[in-house]
Amino acid sequence: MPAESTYDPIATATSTGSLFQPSFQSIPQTYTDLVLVTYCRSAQAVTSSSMFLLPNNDTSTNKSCTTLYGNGSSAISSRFTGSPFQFSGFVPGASATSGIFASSITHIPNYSSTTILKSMLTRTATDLNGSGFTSLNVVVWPSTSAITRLDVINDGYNNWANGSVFTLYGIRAA
Amino acid sequence: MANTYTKILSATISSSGQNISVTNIPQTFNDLVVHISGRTDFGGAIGNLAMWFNNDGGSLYSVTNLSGSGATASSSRGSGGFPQGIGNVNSAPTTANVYTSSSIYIPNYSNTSNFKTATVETVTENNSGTAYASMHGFLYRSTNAIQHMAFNGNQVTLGFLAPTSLTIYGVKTVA
Repeated sequence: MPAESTYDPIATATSTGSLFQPSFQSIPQTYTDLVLVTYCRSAQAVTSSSMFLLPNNDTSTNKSCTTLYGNGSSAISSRFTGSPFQFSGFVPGASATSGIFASSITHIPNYSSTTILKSMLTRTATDLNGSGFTSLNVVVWPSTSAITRLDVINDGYNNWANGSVFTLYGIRAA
Repeated sequence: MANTYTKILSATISSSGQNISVTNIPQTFNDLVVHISGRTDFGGAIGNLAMWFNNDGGSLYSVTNLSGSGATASSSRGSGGFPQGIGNVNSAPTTANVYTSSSIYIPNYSNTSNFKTATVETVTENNSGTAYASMHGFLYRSTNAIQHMAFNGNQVTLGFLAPTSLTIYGVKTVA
């Protein structure tokens, strides 16, 4: 009997350069954990921009974030609270060297629970060849609602650049 | 549902001093995941795991490092040289039989339009002296698809101790 798949792609979104903000909606509640993998670059006219994860389109100022990142010379940790969007990693902007994209992996355990608050752990690689960041970020969404929608927001609602790819996976525990 | 997280290759070096080189990586997946259990035959206190692609030896690589030593956290950057390290690796003089674990994620490795980037985590706890846990943002400035990967136990001159092992998985975004 073939092995049952325990790591399934739920959906993939790819930017073609037009207005684009990936929104994974109607997320199946049949998995144990979610994994979001991104390969992305912002269209914002800066060298380094930011990525935010927004569960269930909840824009209330209830989320918090703790980040640990390296900028090539120092290790820095910060905490943020009281914002609708909390930081989930650096991404290259339109002013960065052409062709450079950031990669990130986000784990969201127990996303369908209606008992616990949700946490999202993201590791991001944003080396820009002479500058850039490597970061580990955790965002807590203090809600007991199951996550049924996840939006990947660029700073200032800017577009994601052509070629950006976002894939949401579901992981089964059994 | 079809399996979308598939082992491509698993290898264990048979004798010490060997590098790891993987050729003809299938281009049928979307992402690659690499797990290494490694230990270098370097005679110094600790080695430096190096990674390169497609036999490219030029200045196409850069890396941003974030590391903790058990006492301090630090960040550093490597650029312009070859090869670039992706974390410390336990060396021959360190506690016997302790191997470093590294996890590497490379999204969109087969695209031919943009550069390749990898997220790397490496841990070298050895239950003895100074050890490290680190993350690395690795950049390969080439639009060529990754078809060949190579690893070394201390930059480019030294290999690994047996039984260093490596497993590569391919991840598909469509079942």
